[in-house]
Amino acid sequence: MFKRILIANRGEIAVRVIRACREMGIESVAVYSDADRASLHTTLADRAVRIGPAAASESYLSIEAIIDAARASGAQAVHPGYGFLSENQDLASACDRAGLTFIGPPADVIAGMGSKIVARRLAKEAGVPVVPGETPGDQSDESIAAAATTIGLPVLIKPSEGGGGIGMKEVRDAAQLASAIAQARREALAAFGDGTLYVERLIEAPRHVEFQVIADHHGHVVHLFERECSIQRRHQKVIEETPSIALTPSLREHMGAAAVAVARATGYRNAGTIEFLLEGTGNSARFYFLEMNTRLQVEHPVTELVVGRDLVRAQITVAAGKPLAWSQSDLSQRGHAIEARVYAEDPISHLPQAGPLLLYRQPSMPGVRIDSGVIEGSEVGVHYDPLLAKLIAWGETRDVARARAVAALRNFPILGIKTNIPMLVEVLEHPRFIEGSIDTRFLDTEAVALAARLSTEPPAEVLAVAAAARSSRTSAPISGPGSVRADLDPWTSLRGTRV
Amino acid sequence: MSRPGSERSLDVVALGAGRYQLIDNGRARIAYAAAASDTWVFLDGRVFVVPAGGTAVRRAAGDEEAALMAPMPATVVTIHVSPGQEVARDGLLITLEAMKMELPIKAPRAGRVTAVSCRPGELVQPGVRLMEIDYGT
Repeated sequence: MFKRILIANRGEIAVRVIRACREMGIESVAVYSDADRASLHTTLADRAVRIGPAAASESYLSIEAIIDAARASGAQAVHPGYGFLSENQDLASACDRAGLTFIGPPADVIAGMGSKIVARRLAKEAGVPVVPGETPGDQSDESIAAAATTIGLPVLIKPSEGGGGIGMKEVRDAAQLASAIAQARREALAAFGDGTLYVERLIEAPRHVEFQVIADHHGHVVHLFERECSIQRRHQKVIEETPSIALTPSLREHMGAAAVAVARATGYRNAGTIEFLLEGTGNSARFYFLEMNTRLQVEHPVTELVVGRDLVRAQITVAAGKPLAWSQSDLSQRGHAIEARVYAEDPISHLPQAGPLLLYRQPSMPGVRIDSGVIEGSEVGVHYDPLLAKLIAWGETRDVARARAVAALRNFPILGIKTNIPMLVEVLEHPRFIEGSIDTRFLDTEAVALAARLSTEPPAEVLAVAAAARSSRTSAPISGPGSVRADLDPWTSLRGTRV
Repeated sequence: MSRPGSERSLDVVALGAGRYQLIDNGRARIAYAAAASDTWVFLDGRVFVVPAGGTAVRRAAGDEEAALMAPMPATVVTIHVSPGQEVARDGLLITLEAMKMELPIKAPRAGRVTAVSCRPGELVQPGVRLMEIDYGT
């Protein structure tokens, strides 16, 4: 087993991996940019190495800086987390050359699955259906537009390298093609350093259902069932759950077998996710291979809670060359889990927020897990992804898990910057979510109604609390009930008044 | 919520460390507050920003002034216009980027650019004026 692992990431996922290392008696090495000198992940690890300035391109995206840090700290393995360099085959091969173990699949598998052409060919060869689409060989704007017309509108135009919804544009009208192509290309270049575009038929109102797989170096491949991630905005997942209520046992079995078949066909190692689009419901529903994510997913905790396995521990164990401890028949689903992603963003305008966390208190209650990258006093910056924390609720049924998630979010105060918590509560209590009639367009369709419910003036009780907070800031120490000092602030007079 | 004119008693007890007990007609709830230049209040999953004056901050989405300010900390990617140039309503003025997203800043009304006060690559803070536009009369 490894003695020391470097975590080439930041935020909640770096914290998650550091905690797994600690449980396993492995030393952790954090890397940090100048913006993260005091961040939770930096201070939690056994060692921390500065890798550059705040700009991700010069720090968390610098393969050279990561490899240098691993060498300097004497790490034997590198865990890439998700995002940043996690799906970059050059990091995996640079690790190989430096004699470091990359905790993920081999570089050539990352390269293959990162290319939508190769991934689709492998899926087809494995007998798994795919969504119609292509990466035009001629990448001129005209040729991309022609490909879109051939496939038939509506289409999605997206970076051939990449994921996470970045640079992905939906086109329903030929008149929008030119600007969508130009914008997708700019965002692809900015995010991935490669402007190659892929055009795909847009499946209307699909569900996003993905399967977790893990493979060891001894020929074992298992799946850990599905996750449904249909609550998305701009292709960025917001709420995920497992099991998916759209899957019948027979469909689940077919999709699980397809996921394992794709993983086998690629020579996969370590943890990965096969994403499918699901059209229709019941046993007649059709599924299409969408892509494979060759890394740990943000939403892995819902699987961990329902299947009862630690995926990060398994990743490290498998990377160390040990066989998987589980066979497919050992794995089953128990209960239901829902993850809500807490983003630093305005719940109505969705604009990312930055600033200090004046107050940040995580709820602690039965069946609730929180994976967080921040603590009270942390400064949320503008340089990185706005994900602050993930709240995951488990219950014996979907209703129990949902009720726990709502209760926990209602008791998760974050002050100083706005977060999407009010929106998460509205979605989890929405009649359509409760009955499970959701698809990937849910947030777009409901956006106006959700925003209207969230745009309210502060009620009297909120103004009363604000007044008390302002006066207590300047008053003598609080000694007990009724001790909020009445000073010149007119709002203090709300205390005990009848309105 | 109370009906207009109905009687309602509202009591707030500071519990320390930003926690407040709110007793609303005998029913107790916990709220959280943090006072900076504005006062932030969390109650039942909702967050409100109450300025010192006591009225809530309203997002000025269609506000002409706000449209030419950076709405959040962001990097200026491209400036699409130059001083003296006429711009149409909704014409693209500046592209900002924050947290992996492009954010187009468009002209709220037709007018003429009189000054550009940012440059590409610059990190701008919320409320910082990016550009001056003369909307005529």
